[in-house]
Amino acid sequence: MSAGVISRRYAKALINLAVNAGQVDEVAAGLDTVADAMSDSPRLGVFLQNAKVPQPAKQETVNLILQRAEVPPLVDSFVRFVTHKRRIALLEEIRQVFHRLADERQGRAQAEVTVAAPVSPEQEAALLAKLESMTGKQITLSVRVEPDIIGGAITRIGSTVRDGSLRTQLTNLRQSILEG
Amino acid sequence: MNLAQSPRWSRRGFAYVGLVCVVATAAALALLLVPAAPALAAEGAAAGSEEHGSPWLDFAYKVVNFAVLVGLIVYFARRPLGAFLSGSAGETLAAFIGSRKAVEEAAAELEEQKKKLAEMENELRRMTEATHADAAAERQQLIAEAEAQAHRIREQGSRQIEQEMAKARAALKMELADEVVRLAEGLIRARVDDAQHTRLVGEFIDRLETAK
Repeated sequence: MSAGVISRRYAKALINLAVNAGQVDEVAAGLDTVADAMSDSPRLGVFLQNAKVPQPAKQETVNLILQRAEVPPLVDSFVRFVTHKRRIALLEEIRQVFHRLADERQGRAQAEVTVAAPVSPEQEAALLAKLESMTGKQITLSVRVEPDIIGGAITRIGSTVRDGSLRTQLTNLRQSILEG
Repeated sequence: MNLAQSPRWSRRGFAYVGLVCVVATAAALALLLVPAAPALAAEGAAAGSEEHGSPWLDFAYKVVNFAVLVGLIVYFARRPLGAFLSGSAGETLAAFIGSRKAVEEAAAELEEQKKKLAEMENELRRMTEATHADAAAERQQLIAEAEAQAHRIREQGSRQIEQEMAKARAALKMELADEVVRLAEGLIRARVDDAQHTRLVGEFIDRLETAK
Protein backbone atom coordinates (compact mmCIF):
# COMPACT_ATOMS: atom_id res chain seq x y z
CA MET A 1 0.00 0.00 0.00
CA SER A 2 1.43 3.39 -0.96
CA ALA A 3 2.18 6.13 1.55
CA GLY A 4 -0.40 8.40 -0.12
CA VAL A 5 -3.21 5.93 0.39
CA ILE A 6 -2.20 5.31 4.01
CA SER A 7 -1.99 9.05 4.74
CA ARG A 8 -5.40 9.61 3.17
CA ARG A 9 -6.92 6.89 5.34
CA TYR A 10 -5.51 8.36 8.54
CA ALA A 11 -6.54 11.88 7.50
CA LYS A 12 -10.09 10.75 6.71
CA ALA A 13 -10.37 9.03 10.06
CA LEU A 14 -9.17 12.16 11.84
CA ILE A 15 -11.47 14.53 9.93
CA ASN A 16 -14.46 12.33 10.75
CA LEU A 17 -13.54 12.41 14.43
CA ALA A 18 -12.99 16.19 14.27
CA VAL A 19 -16.31 16.84 12.52
CA ASN A 20 -18.16 14.68 15.04
CA ALA A 21 -16.46 16.55 17.87
CA GLY A 22 -17.09 19.90 16.21
CA GLN A 23 -13.38 20.69 16.45
CA VAL A 24 -12.22 20.78 12.86
CA ASP A 25 -10.34 24.05 13.15
CA GLU A 26 -8.90 23.17 16.58
CA VAL A 27 -7.71 19.79 15.37
CA ALA A 28 -6.22 21.38 12.25
CA ALA A 29 -4.34 23.90 14.38
CA GLY A 30 -3.09 21.23 16.78
CA LEU A 31 -2.01 19.04 13.89
CA ASP A 32 -0.14 22.00 12.43
CA THR A 33 1.61 22.59 15.76
CA VAL A 34 2.90 19.03 16.05
CA ALA A 35 3.83 18.73 12.39
CA ASP A 36 5.62 22.08 12.43
CA ALA A 37 7.54 21.06 15.55
CA MET A 38 8.73 17.94 13.81
CA SER A 39 9.52 19.57 10.49
CA ASP A 40 11.32 22.51 12.12
CA SER A 41 13.95 20.16 13.52
CA PRO A 42 15.60 18.10 10.77
CA ARG A 43 17.38 15.97 13.36
CA LEU A 44 14.04 15.15 14.98
CA GLY A 45 12.61 14.15 11.63
CA VAL A 46 15.57 11.89 10.89
CA PHE A 47 15.32 10.42 14.38
CA LEU A 48 11.62 9.58 14.04
CA GLN A 49 12.04 8.18 10.50
CA ASN A 50 15.05 6.03 11.35
CA ALA A 51 13.98 2.39 11.39
CA LYS A 52 16.93 1.46 13.63
CA VAL A 53 15.69 3.69 16.45
CA PRO A 54 13.74 1.56 18.95
CA GLN A 55 10.02 2.19 18.98
CA PRO A 56 9.89 3.04 22.76
CA ALA A 57 12.45 5.80 22.19
CA LYS A 58 10.35 7.29 19.41
CA GLN A 59 7.22 7.02 21.55
CA GLU A 60 8.91 8.77 24.44
CA THR A 61 10.12 11.59 22.20
CA VAL A 62 6.68 12.10 20.71
CA ASN A 63 5.21 12.16 24.24
CA LEU A 64 7.58 14.98 25.19
CA ILE A 65 6.60 16.97 22.08
CA LEU A 66 2.90 16.50 22.82
CA GLN A 67 3.33 17.59 26.44
CA ARG A 68 4.96 20.83 25.37
CA ALA A 69 2.65 21.51 22.39
CA GLU A 70 -0.57 21.66 24.40
CA VAL A 71 -2.69 20.25 21.60
CA PRO A 72 -6.34 19.12 21.85
CA PRO A 73 -6.86 15.64 23.30
CA LEU A 74 -8.02 14.37 19.92
CA VAL A 75 -4.75 15.40 18.29
CA ASP A 76 -2.76 14.03 21.24
CA SER A 77 -4.42 10.62 20.94
CA PHE A 78 -4.15 10.61 17.19
CA VAL A 79 -0.40 11.37 17.15
CA ARG A 80 0.28 8.75 19.82
CA PHE A 81 -1.71 6.24 17.80
CA VAL A 82 0.16 7.07 14.59
CA THR A 83 3.45 6.70 16.42
CA HIS A 84 2.37 3.38 17.85
CA LYS A 85 1.52 2.22 14.32
CA ARG A 86 5.02 3.28 13.19
CA ARG A 87 3.51 5.84 10.76
CA ILE A 88 4.79 9.01 12.40
CA ALA A 89 6.93 9.70 9.33
CA LEU A 90 3.70 10.28 7.40
CA LEU A 91 2.45 13.01 9.72
CA GLU A 92 3.29 15.86 7.33
CA GLU A 93 1.40 14.24 4.47
CA ILE A 94 -1.50 13.42 6.81
CA ARG A 95 -1.67 17.07 7.76
CA GLN A 96 -1.87 18.20 4.12
CA VAL A 97 -4.63 15.74 3.32
CA PHE A 98 -6.47 16.68 6.50
CA HIS A 99 -6.45 20.37 5.56
CA ARG A 100 -7.75 19.58 2.11
CA LEU A 101 -10.49 17.40 3.50
CA ALA A 102 -11.31 20.02 6.12
CA ASP A 103 -11.54 22.70 3.46
CA GLU A 104 -13.82 20.49 1.39
CA ARG A 105 -16.05 19.75 4.36
CA GLN A 106 -16.30 23.45 5.15
CA GLY A 107 -16.59 24.63 1.56
CA ARG A 108 -13.08 26.05 1.43
CA ALA A 109 -10.18 25.59 -0.97
CA GLN A 110 -6.52 26.57 -1.09
CA ALA A 111 -5.46 28.28 -4.29
CA GLU A 112 -1.87 29.02 -5.28
CA VAL A 113 -1.18 31.62 -7.94
CA THR A 114 2.22 31.93 -9.60
CA VAL A 115 3.04 35.18 -11.40
CA ALA A 116 6.16 36.61 -13.01
CA ALA A 117 5.94 39.91 -11.11
CA PRO A 118 3.96 41.08 -8.06
CA VAL A 119 0.33 41.78 -8.82
CA SER A 120 -1.69 44.67 -7.56
CA PRO A 121 -4.26 44.15 -4.72
CA GLU A 122 -6.99 44.89 -7.23
CA GLN A 123 -5.87 42.11 -9.53
CA GLU A 124 -5.46 39.74 -6.58
CA ALA A 125 -9.01 40.50 -5.45
CA ALA A 126 -10.28 40.06 -8.98
CA LEU A 127 -8.50 36.74 -9.23
CA LEU A 128 -9.87 35.59 -5.87
CA ALA A 129 -13.39 36.51 -6.86
CA LYS A 130 -13.00 34.73 -10.15
CA LEU A 131 -11.72 31.56 -8.50
CA GLU A 132 -14.50 31.58 -5.88
CA SER A 133 -17.12 32.03 -8.56
CA MET A 134 -15.61 29.18 -10.53
CA THR A 135 -15.31 26.70 -7.66
CA GLY A 136 -18.20 27.85 -5.50
CA LYS A 137 -15.88 27.63 -2.51
CA GLN A 138 -14.24 30.03 -0.15
CA ILE A 139 -10.76 30.40 -1.56
CA THR A 140 -7.64 31.04 0.44
CA LEU A 141 -5.25 32.55 -2.05
CA SER A 142 -1.47 32.44 -1.85
CA VAL A 143 0.57 34.33 -4.43
CA ARG A 144 4.04 33.20 -5.46
CA VAL A 145 6.31 35.28 -7.69
CA GLU A 146 8.37 33.26 -10.18
CA PRO A 147 10.14 35.41 -12.84
CA ASP A 148 10.98 32.33 -14.91
CA ILE A 149 7.40 32.13 -16.19
CA ILE A 150 8.14 35.44 -18.01
CA GLY A 151 4.56 36.68 -17.95
CA GLY A 152 0.93 35.69 -17.30
CA ALA A 153 -0.07 33.49 -14.37
CA ILE A 154 -0.59 29.90 -13.20
CA THR A 155 -3.27 28.84 -10.71
CA ARG A 156 -3.40 25.58 -8.79
CA ILE A 157 -6.38 24.45 -6.73
CA GLY A 158 -5.80 20.95 -5.43
CA SER A 159 -4.77 18.98 -8.47
CA THR A 160 -6.35 21.38 -10.96
CA VAL A 161 -3.86 23.63 -12.77
CA ARG A 162 -4.64 26.45 -15.18
CA ASP A 163 -1.53 27.68 -16.95
CA GLY A 164 -1.55 31.06 -18.73
CA SER A 165 2.19 31.74 -18.49
CA LEU A 166 4.37 32.87 -21.39
CA ARG A 167 6.89 30.21 -20.40
CA THR A 168 4.37 27.47 -21.15
CA GLN A 169 3.41 29.17 -24.42
CA LEU A 170 7.06 29.19 -25.46
CA THR A 171 7.35 25.55 -24.48
CA ASN A 172 4.31 24.75 -26.61
CA LEU A 173 5.86 26.71 -29.47
CA ARG A 174 9.06 24.68 -29.17
CA GLN A 175 7.10 21.43 -29.11
CA SER A 176 5.13 22.39 -32.21
CA ILE A 177 8.37 23.14 -34.05
CA LEU A 178 9.81 19.76 -33.04
CA GLU A 179 6.66 17.92 -34.13
CA GLY A 180 6.22 19.86 -37.35
CA MET B 1 72.32 -73.05 -53.90
CA ASN B 2 74.81 -74.26 -56.53
CA LEU B 3 73.27 -76.18 -59.41
CA ALA B 4 75.79 -79.05 -59.07
CA GLN B 5 74.86 -79.47 -55.41
CA SER B 6 71.20 -80.20 -56.26
CA PRO B 7 70.40 -83.91 -55.50
CA ARG B 8 68.67 -84.31 -58.81
CA TRP B 9 71.56 -82.88 -60.75
CA SER B 10 74.22 -84.74 -58.76
CA ARG B 11 72.73 -88.10 -59.61
CA ARG B 12 70.81 -87.80 -62.85
CA GLY B 13 72.96 -85.19 -64.38
CA PHE B 14 76.13 -87.14 -64.16
CA ALA B 15 74.43 -90.34 -65.37
CA TYR B 16 73.07 -88.44 -68.32
CA VAL B 17 76.44 -87.01 -69.18
CA GLY B 18 78.10 -90.42 -68.90
CA LEU B 19 75.51 -92.11 -71.07
CA VAL B 20 75.83 -89.45 -73.68
CA CYS B 21 79.60 -89.94 -73.71
CA VAL B 22 79.27 -93.75 -74.16
CA VAL B 23 76.69 -93.43 -76.92
CA ALA B 24 78.76 -90.78 -78.64
CA THR B 25 81.87 -93.00 -78.52
CA ALA B 26 79.97 -95.99 -79.91
CA ALA B 27 78.49 -93.90 -82.66
CA ALA B 28 81.91 -92.58 -83.58
CA LEU B 29 83.34 -96.03 -83.82
CA ALA B 30 80.45 -97.18 -85.96
CA LEU B 31 80.88 -94.24 -88.29
CA LEU B 32 84.56 -95.05 -88.60
CA LEU B 33 84.13 -98.77 -89.12
CA VAL B 34 81.17 -98.92 -91.55
CA PRO B 35 82.72 -96.80 -94.31
CA ALA B 36 85.99 -98.61 -93.80
CA ALA B 37 84.50 -102.07 -94.41
CA PRO B 38 84.89 -102.12 -98.28
CA ALA B 39 88.40 -100.78 -97.93
CA LEU B 40 89.24 -103.44 -95.41
CA ALA B 41 87.77 -106.05 -97.76
CA ALA B 42 89.84 -104.84 -100.67
CA GLU B 43 92.87 -104.50 -98.51
CA GLY B 44 92.28 -108.01 -97.18
CA ALA B 45 91.98 -109.39 -100.65
CA ALA B 46 95.23 -107.77 -101.67
CA ALA B 47 97.03 -108.73 -98.54
CA GLY B 48 95.59 -112.23 -98.49
CA SER B 49 98.08 -113.17 -100.94
CA GLU B 50 100.88 -111.83 -98.90
CA GLU B 51 99.78 -112.56 -95.21
CA HIS B 52 97.88 -115.11 -93.25
CA GLY B 53 94.39 -114.22 -91.74
CA SER B 54 91.20 -112.85 -93.22
CA PRO B 55 90.21 -109.15 -93.03
CA TRP B 56 86.55 -110.15 -93.07
CA LEU B 57 87.13 -112.10 -89.96
CA ASP B 58 88.70 -109.14 -88.33
CA PHE B 59 85.79 -106.96 -89.40
CA ALA B 60 83.34 -109.50 -88.06
CA TYR B 61 85.22 -109.58 -84.83
CA LYS B 62 84.97 -105.81 -84.54
CA VAL B 63 81.30 -105.86 -85.38
CA VAL B 64 80.67 -108.44 -82.71
CA ASN B 65 82.72 -106.47 -80.32
CA PHE B 66 80.71 -103.38 -81.11
CA ALA B 67 77.49 -105.29 -80.74
CA VAL B 68 78.59 -106.54 -77.35
CA LEU B 69 79.52 -103.01 -76.37
CA VAL B 70 76.20 -101.71 -77.49
CA GLY B 71 74.48 -104.53 -75.68
CA LEU B 72 76.32 -103.75 -72.47
CA ILE B 73 75.49 -100.10 -72.81
CA VAL B 74 71.85 -100.86 -73.45
CA TYR B 75 71.79 -103.34 -70.62
CA PHE B 76 73.33 -101.05 -68.08
CA ALA B 77 72.06 -97.70 -69.26
CA ARG B 78 68.53 -98.59 -70.19
CA ARG B 79 67.04 -98.33 -66.75
CA PRO B 80 68.70 -95.10 -65.54
CA LEU B 81 68.30 -93.55 -68.95
CA GLY B 82 64.63 -94.50 -69.04
CA ALA B 83 64.14 -93.29 -65.54
CA PHE B 84 65.93 -90.10 -66.38
CA LEU B 85 63.94 -89.60 -69.53
CA SER B 86 60.69 -90.50 -67.88
CA GLY B 87 61.47 -88.22 -64.88
CA SER B 88 62.58 -85.43 -67.07
CA ALA B 89 59.50 -85.74 -69.23
CA GLY B 90 57.23 -85.75 -66.16
CA GLU B 91 58.97 -82.83 -64.75
CA THR B 92 58.84 -81.11 -68.07
CA LEU B 93 55.17 -81.97 -68.39
CA ALA B 94 54.50 -80.82 -64.82
CA ALA B 95 56.55 -77.75 -65.44
CA PHE B 96 54.65 -77.20 -68.65
CA ILE B 97 51.34 -77.73 -66.92
CA GLY B 98 52.52 -75.57 -64.07
CA SER B 99 53.68 -72.93 -66.46
CA ARG B 100 50.39 -73.07 -68.29
CA LYS B 101 48.48 -72.83 -65.01
CA ALA B 102 50.75 -69.99 -63.92
CA VAL B 103 50.11 -68.28 -67.22
CA GLU B 104 46.37 -68.80 -66.77
CA GLU B 105 46.59 -67.55 -63.22
CA ALA B 106 48.68 -64.63 -64.35
CA ALA B 107 46.13 -63.97 -67.08
CA ALA B 108 43.33 -64.22 -64.53
CA GLU B 109 45.26 -61.98 -62.17
CA LEU B 110 45.85 -59.61 -65.03
CA GLU B 111 42.14 -59.62 -65.81
CA GLU B 112 41.38 -59.08 -62.13
CA GLN B 113 43.83 -56.24 -61.95
CA LYS B 114 42.39 -54.77 -65.15
CA LYS B 115 38.92 -55.07 -63.64
CA LYS B 116 40.11 -53.50 -60.43
CA LEU B 117 41.86 -50.80 -62.39
CA ALA B 118 38.67 -50.15 -64.31
CA GLU B 119 36.72 -50.05 -61.07
CA MET B 120 39.28 -47.71 -59.58
CA GLU B 121 39.06 -45.53 -62.65
CA ASN B 122 35.30 -45.53 -62.36
CA GLU B 123 35.55 -44.78 -58.66
CA LEU B 124 38.06 -42.04 -59.38
CA ARG B 125 35.74 -40.60 -62.00
CA ARG B 126 32.82 -40.75 -59.60
CA MET B 127 34.91 -39.14 -56.89
CA THR B 128 36.07 -36.48 -59.30
CA GLU B 129 32.52 -35.81 -60.40
CA ALA B 130 31.31 -35.80 -56.82
CA THR B 131 34.14 -33.45 -55.88
CA HIS B 132 33.26 -31.17 -58.75
CA ALA B 133 29.60 -31.29 -57.76
CA ASP B 134 30.46 -30.55 -54.12
CA ALA B 135 32.74 -27.76 -55.16
CA ALA B 136 30.03 -26.31 -57.38
CA ALA B 137 27.48 -26.58 -54.57
CA GLU B 138 29.93 -25.04 -52.13
CA ARG B 139 30.62 -22.27 -54.57
CA GLN B 140 26.91 -21.63 -55.03
CA GLN B 141 26.41 -21.64 -51.29
CA LEU B 142 29.30 -19.25 -50.75
CA ILE B 143 27.96 -16.98 -53.46
CA ALA B 144 24.49 -17.09 -51.91
CA GLU B 145 25.88 -16.37 -48.45
CA ALA B 146 28.03 -13.57 -49.77
CA GLU B 147 25.05 -12.07 -51.57
CA ALA B 148 22.91 -12.39 -48.43
CA GLN B 149 25.68 -10.83 -46.36
CA ALA B 150 26.06 -8.03 -48.87
CA HIS B 151 22.29 -7.51 -48.79
CA ARG B 152 22.33 -7.38 -45.01
CA ILE B 153 25.24 -4.96 -45.04
CA ARG B 154 23.44 -2.75 -47.57
CA GLU B 155 20.25 -2.82 -45.53
CA GLN B 156 22.12 -2.16 -42.33
CA GLY B 157 23.97 0.66 -43.99
CA SER B 158 20.73 2.09 -45.28
CA ARG B 159 19.16 1.83 -41.85
CA GLN B 160 22.17 3.44 -40.26
CA ILE B 161 22.10 6.23 -42.81
CA GLU B 162 18.38 6.74 -42.22
CA GLN B 163 18.88 6.71 -38.47
CA GLU B 164 21.76 9.13 -38.70
CA MET B 165 19.74 11.39 -40.98
CA ALA B 166 16.77 11.19 -38.63
CA LYS B 167 19.01 11.98 -35.70
CA ALA B 168 20.59 14.83 -37.61
CA ARG B 169 17.14 16.17 -38.58
CA ALA B 170 15.94 15.87 -35.00
CA ALA B 171 19.06 17.56 -33.67
CA LEU B 172 18.74 20.31 -36.26
CA LYS B 173 15.06 20.76 -35.49
CA MET B 174 15.77 20.82 -31.76
CA GLU B 175 18.53 23.34 -32.25
CA LEU B 176 16.22 25.43 -34.41
CA ALA B 177 13.41 25.22 -31.85
CA ASP B 178 15.74 26.12 -29.00
CA GLU B 179 17.07 29.05 -30.97
CA VAL B 180 13.57 30.25 -31.86
CA VAL B 181 12.47 29.99 -28.22
CA ARG B 182 15.65 31.70 -27.04
CA LEU B 183 15.15 34.58 -29.47
CA ALA B 184 11.44 34.83 -28.67
CA GLU B 185 12.11 34.81 -24.95
CA GLY B 186 14.70 37.53 -25.38
CA LEU B 187 12.28 39.67 -27.35
CA ILE B 188 9.46 39.09 -24.89
CA ARG B 189 11.58 39.81 -21.84
CA ALA B 190 12.77 43.01 -23.48
CA ARG B 191 9.24 44.18 -24.15
CA VAL B 192 7.36 42.96 -21.06
CA ASP B 193 7.33 45.66 -18.42
CA ASP B 194 5.09 46.13 -15.39
CA ALA B 195 2.26 47.36 -17.53
CA GLN B 196 2.57 44.37 -19.77
CA HIS B 197 2.64 42.08 -16.70
CA THR B 198 -0.54 43.65 -15.43
CA ARG B 199 -2.16 43.33 -18.84
CA LEU B 200 -1.12 39.65 -19.16
CA VAL B 201 -2.46 38.79 -15.68
CA GLY B 202 -5.67 40.62 -16.45
CA GLU B 203 -6.11 38.68 -19.68
CA PHE B 204 -5.44 35.46 -17.78
CA ILE B 205 -8.12 36.35 -15.21
CA ASP B 206 -10.56 37.20 -17.98
CA ARG B 207 -10.15 33.84 -19.71
CA LEU B 208 -9.52 31.81 -16.55
CA GLU B 209 -12.60 29.67 -17.07
CA THR B 210 -11.37 28.54 -20.47
CA ALA B 211 -7.71 28.31 -19.57
CA LYS B 212 -6.11 24.88 -19.45
